[in-house]
Amino acid sequence: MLHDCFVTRRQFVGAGAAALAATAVPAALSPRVPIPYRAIFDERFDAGRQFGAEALGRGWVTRAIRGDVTHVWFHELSLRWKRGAAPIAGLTTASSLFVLERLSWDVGMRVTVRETLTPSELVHWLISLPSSRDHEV
Amino acid sequence: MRTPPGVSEADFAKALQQFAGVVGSQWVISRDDEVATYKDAYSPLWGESDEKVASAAVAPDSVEQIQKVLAIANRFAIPLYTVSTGRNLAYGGSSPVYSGSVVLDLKRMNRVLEVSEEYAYALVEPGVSYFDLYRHLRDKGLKLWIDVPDPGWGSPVGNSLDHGALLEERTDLTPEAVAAFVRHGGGGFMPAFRPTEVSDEDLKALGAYLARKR
Repeated sequence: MLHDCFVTRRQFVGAGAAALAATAVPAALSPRVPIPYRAIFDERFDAGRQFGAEALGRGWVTRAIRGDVTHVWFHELSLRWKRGAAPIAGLTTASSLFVLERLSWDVGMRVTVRETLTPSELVHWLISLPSSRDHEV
Repeated sequence: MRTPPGVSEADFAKALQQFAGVVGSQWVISRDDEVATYKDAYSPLWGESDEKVASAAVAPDSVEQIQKVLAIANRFAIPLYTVSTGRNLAYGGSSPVYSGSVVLDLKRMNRVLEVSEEYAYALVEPGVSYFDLYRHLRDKGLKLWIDVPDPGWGSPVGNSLDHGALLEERTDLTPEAVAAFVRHGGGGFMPAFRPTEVSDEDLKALGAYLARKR
């Protein structure tokens, strides 16, 4: 369980790597990033469920989706982001990430970690303010 | 940095500075990686030399700011391309028709100004999305219905100006078809609504209205 209010990108990717067992996730990431406001996983896939369990174990607030991000975006992300940027993390399909990425642009965030897993082609990602704007979180 | 056609780098830099004086520097997008977010992700010309791309973007928050931005653009002869939410992907999205234009991004103008339940109209700013309007109607408990497009993140204003189709304009609807769409979401094309959200009585009235002879 994390007691610090920050987790490094290395830790973030490490968490994904542990959860995904057989999946190689590069860890060439170092700057400190905040704990995600929500960790979103696609529960249709083993890797997604494992990621969700690992995120929950780290004390992150998780949300399961089945491809469609509308519910979590409409009821949570859009309301939170009206108050400003808040990072999110996830393991989803590229299509789900595509939508979240574009929505996050409106509050100045970007996909700062993007790892496509093989052979599933699921994507392990982090959306946050670019490092130059981390202070605004 | 790309510059608009016919505009010198020096003039463009001055214009961007003046834009920033109006809207705030964080709402003038000129860094290449930031400007790239205004490309249409589904452009058939993606990555090609004749792809339509912006030179910068500016995002005002009010009519007064728009007026000032227009004055600056006129002063430097900078072409502007206006988008509301800019998410009509595959139809151009927020990429300008005239390559090199500055995108006038109205996404920050996202206020629902007025909704009349009695006369069934809404006065909204261009950056209001269908989701925003839907949320407003729900939050206020208004008994109004909006035409729901597939891209709920799009703008009612933008969609209407872009020749958006309205259920009102269709002449082939039956009460049964309307009921099927409302209750079952039309096979996933739109959200399904429960009787607690749209009552049977309202659904019947809606079906009769949309299927009426015109």
